[in-house]
Amino acid sequence: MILHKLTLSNFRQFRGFHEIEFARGNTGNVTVIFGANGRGKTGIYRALLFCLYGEKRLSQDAQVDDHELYLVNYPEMEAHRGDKKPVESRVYLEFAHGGRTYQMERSILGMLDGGEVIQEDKGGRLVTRDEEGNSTATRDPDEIAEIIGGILDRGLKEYFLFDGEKIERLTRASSEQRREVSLGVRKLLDINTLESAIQATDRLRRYLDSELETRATGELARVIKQLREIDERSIELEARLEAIDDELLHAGQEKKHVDNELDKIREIRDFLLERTSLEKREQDLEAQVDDLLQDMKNRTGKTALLLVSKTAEKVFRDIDKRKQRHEIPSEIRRDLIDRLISEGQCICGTSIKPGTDEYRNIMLWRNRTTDILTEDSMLNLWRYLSGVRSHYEDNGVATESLLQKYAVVKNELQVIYRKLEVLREKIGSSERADAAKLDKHRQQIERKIIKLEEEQAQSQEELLILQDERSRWQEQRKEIEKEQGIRDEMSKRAALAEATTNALKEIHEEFTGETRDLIGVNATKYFRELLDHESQKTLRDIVVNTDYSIQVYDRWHKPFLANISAGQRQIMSIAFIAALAQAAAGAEVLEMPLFMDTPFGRLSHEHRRNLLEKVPGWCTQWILLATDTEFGRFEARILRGTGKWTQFYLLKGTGAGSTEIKVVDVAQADGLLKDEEEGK
Amino acid sequence: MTEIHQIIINKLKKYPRDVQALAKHALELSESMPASSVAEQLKGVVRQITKEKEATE
Repeated sequence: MILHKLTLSNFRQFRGFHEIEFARGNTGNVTVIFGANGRGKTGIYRALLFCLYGEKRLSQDAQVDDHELYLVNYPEMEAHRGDKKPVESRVYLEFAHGGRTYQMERSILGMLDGGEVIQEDKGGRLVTRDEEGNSTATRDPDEIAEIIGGILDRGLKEYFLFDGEKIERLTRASSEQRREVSLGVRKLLDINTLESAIQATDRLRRYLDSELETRATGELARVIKQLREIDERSIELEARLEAIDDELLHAGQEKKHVDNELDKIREIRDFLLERTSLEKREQDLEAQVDDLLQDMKNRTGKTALLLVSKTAEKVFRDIDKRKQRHEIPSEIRRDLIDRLISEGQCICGTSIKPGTDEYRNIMLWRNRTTDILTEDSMLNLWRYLSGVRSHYEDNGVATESLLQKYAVVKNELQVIYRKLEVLREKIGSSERADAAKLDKHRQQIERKIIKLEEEQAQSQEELLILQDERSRWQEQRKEIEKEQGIRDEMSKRAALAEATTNALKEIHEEFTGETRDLIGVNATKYFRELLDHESQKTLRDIVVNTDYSIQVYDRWHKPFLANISAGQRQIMSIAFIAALAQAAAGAEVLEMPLFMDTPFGRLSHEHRRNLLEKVPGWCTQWILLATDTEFGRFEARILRGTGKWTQFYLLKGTGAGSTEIKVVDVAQADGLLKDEEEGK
Repeated sequence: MTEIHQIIINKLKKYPRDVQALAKHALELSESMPASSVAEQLKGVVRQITKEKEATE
C-alpha cells in the first residue's frame, strides 16, 4: 500500500477543505506533518483510520463517551446552528497497491441540537482502478471491508499506522503487551487454518478414544479413562485461562474508567495524580524486582560457590603445595614401590631390608605417594578450583551489586506501598461520597485483578503438570497395547489421529518459533542501528519469548528490560515494529507506509538522528507526524541529508479551535522550526 | 505470508505417509469449514487411510 493523497472536509478541527499529497517513489518517500500540540496531528491519523476502516475511535478514546466524540468540525456545525442544516464531514484517500489504484471516501453528517452533537454515518465508497484503467465502485460495507482488509488487515494496521501510545504499550512487561505481540505475530503468520486443523484432529482423536473406551477392558480401559479425564480437565483449564485473560483486560479497562471518573472530582485530583504516578513507579519497580530475581536465579550456581570460597581456596592451596613439591602426580607409582619393598630389592639392585636407611627412605617416599584414583581426583579438583577461583572476585562484586540493587528497589517499593496506602485512605475518606464510592469500587477491581492473576498462575502450572501426566499415561497405553497385541482398526485410527494432532502441533510450534526468532533477529539488527553509542556498550539483543513478551539482553546475555530508559524503550519498540513489518513482507520489499504519530517524544538527539537517517531506507514510505518540541532544525537537517524528504505540511491554528493544513517547501522548513540549541 | 499452506506441507514431509495424508485433509477442509464439521468429515477419512495402510502392509 502506498498512500497518494488525503483530503479532509470539515473533519475534526479541519474546517473547510484541506489536502495532503504524500511523498512517494525513488526521488523521495518522506512526508513530515508538523504542528504544535493540539493542532490536529492525531486528527490526521484519525482521518486515515476512519477513511480506511470506518473507525471513529482510537485506542486513546477508550474512556471517552460517544457523545463527546465528534468527527464533524464543531465551529462549522455552530455556524449552521440557526439554519438547522447538517454539516457534511468527508475524508478521501487515494492509494495504490499491487498495481491498482484505490479511491476511498467516507462521510458523516453532524449538527447541533441544543448542546448535543448529533452525527449520522453516511457510509463509504470505494473505487478500484486496475492496470488497464478499468474501474469498479462499491458502497457495500462488507465488500469494502474485505478489499481494504486484504490490503492491510485490520489487526495488523496498528503496526504500520501507529501512535505514541502504541509504542508505550509495546514496551510494558504486561499481559497486554504479550497479547499485542501475540496478535501481531499470529496475524502475520495467518495460521488460522492450521489452528483449526489442530482443533479438528484433536476432536477426532477424542471421539475415537471415547469409542475405544467403551470396548476396552481392564488396565487399558483404566488408562484410556485417565487420559480422557486429563483431556477434559486440560480443555477446561485452557478455556478458563482464555476467560481469565479477557476478565483481566476488562478489569484493567474498568479500572481506567473509574480513574477517569475520579479524575473529574477536582477536590481529589492532586491525590489521584500522585497515585497514578506512584502506581506507575510501583509497576516499574515490581518489574525490576522480577528481573533482578530472575538475574539472581540465573546466577544461583555461581553465587552458591561463594559460600564455600574460603574452603575451596584452602583446598586449592593444599593441593597446589603438593603439586609444587611434585608429590602429585607422583614420579613413581605406589604399586611399584610396594613391589620393590616386598621383593626387598630396588631397581638398581640395592637391598632394601627393614631397619636399613634405604628401607626408611623408600618408606618415606611410599607414604608421600597416593594411589592413582585419588591422584586423578586431586588433579581434577586442582584444575577445577584454579578455574573457578579467578571468578570469585567477579562473582562477588556482581552478586553484591545485584543484592544492593535488589535492596534499594525493595526499599523504594516499601516506601511506595506506604505512600499509596496513605493516599488511598485520603481518597477514600474524602468528603465527596461519590469519590469514596468510586474508590471503594476501584479497590474491589484491584483485588479482583490480584485474584485473577493468582488463578492464572495456578491454572498455568496445573496445565503443565497435566501435560506431563498425559505423556506418561500415553506411554503406558502404548506399552499395554503392545503387550496385549491390541492393534485392531479402531485403535490404529485413534493412534493415527493422535500422531496427526501431535505433528500439526509440532509444526505450529516450529513455525511460530521460527517467526519469533526471525522477528527477534531483525529487531536486534534495527535496534543496534538505532541505538546511540552509549547504549550500544550495554544493550545487545531483542528476543521475543515463547509467551510473546519482549525482552532485551545486555552484553552479558542477561535480561535488561527493567533497567532501560524511556528513550531506549521507544527505540526498542520502533525496532520491533520495523522487524514485524519486515517479517510481513517476507523476502520482498515491504510496500506499506510507516505512519508514525509523534514518535520522538522521549528520544535523545543521537537516537533521533539514527531514526531519521535509517527509517527512510527501511520502508517504501514514511509519514511522520511531529510536534515542534520533537522536530527542529537539527532533525530537519538530518532528514534533508537522506535526500528522501520531499513533502512538508504545517498544521496552523486559525483560531476558534480550527486548524488549516499548509504546504511548505522543504527548503523553507527551517523558518518554521526551532534552532538546534532550542531543540536540545 | 500466503505461502503458509506450502510451508506446512513441506514441514509435514518428515512425518509418516498416513499422518501426512490425514493432516493434508484436515488442512484443506479447515480452509472452508469450522473445526467441528472438519472433525466429522475426518471420521471417514481416517477410516479410509487406515484401511489403505493395512492393505499395503
